[in-house]
Amino acid sequence: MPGPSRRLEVIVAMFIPPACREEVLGDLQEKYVSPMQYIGLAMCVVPCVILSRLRRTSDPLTRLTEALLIYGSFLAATWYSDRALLSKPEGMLWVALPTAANLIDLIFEDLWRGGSPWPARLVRLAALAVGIGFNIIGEFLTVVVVMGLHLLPGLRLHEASGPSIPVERKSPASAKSVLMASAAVAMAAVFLALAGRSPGPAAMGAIVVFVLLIVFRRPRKE
Amino acid sequence: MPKADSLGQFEQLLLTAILQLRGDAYGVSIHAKASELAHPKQVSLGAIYVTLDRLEDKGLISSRLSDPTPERGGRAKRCYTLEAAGERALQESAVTAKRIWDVTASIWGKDWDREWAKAPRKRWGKEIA
Repeated sequence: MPGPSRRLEVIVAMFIPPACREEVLGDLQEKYVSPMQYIGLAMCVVPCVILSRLRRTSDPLTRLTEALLIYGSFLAATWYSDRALLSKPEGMLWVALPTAANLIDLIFEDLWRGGSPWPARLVRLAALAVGIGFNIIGEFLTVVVVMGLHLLPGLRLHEASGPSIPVERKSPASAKSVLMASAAVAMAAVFLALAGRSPGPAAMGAIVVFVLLIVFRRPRKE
Repeated sequence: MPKADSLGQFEQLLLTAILQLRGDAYGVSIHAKASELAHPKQVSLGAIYVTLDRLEDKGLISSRLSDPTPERGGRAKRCYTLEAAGERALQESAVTAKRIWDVTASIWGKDWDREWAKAPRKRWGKEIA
């Protein structure tokens, strides 16, 4: 029976959320005629599948709460580290950009639950690259995490335990990994405090641990 | 269980396809049956997945993974079954459609659909390929 090449299938599989990968790949294989037809069909089907999963794994109210929480964290961090920026017209936009990156990261992590969260990792690496590029890692990042990401796991745990939320819509049990990450940053904050609020070598070391933990943490098994 | 809203035309189409396919209702077979029912309109496979997910969230259908088959590269099918709420919703839609049919047949005549099918190039003032 003709079917797509293994390589082509692996590439298409990467873009299908793990929760529905099995049946969608099987259906695509059943409809296989030629490699170009397979790619065309996959290009039509995969965005629909992603959008449908997005609807099933996201509750708009929860996403809004998360967005506000993250935005508040970045706002507080900016106020703490560079108050003058907030009085500039672009100040609020500057705060909105990392908020959006964080939110996209959370959305992708929910979508790719149960598999390798490569899109979320990509977003994290891009955010990290931007952070290094604009030299904003250090005291700013620590304040962000201490302010916000300690609250976020609590929110997500609350969502996950809500009995009224259908199973498919429950927020991911990513609380554990975020807790680990925020614990690492809490350590970073302690190091920072000990170092007199300046990101000395010890604090920078703790922050590097946090960043590595966030970027390369293992996917959850469910 | 979430409240089942009134069904859209595409949802009715998929529920009918699942009803007709019985135990063999999965992505590809539902797509084939829905395309047959919607002829001459085209139905995309992506739209089928989106609507099936929505119907499942509404509690009108349920799904389970079947055993893997070789023609699918050893992958399982997600088979769909009509739930009691889905049957009720489809019956309600069918009764409404029947009422519409009765009214149109009394005005345009009982064979108006045959005349309509004979002139596929021009329907309701629109050119159809």
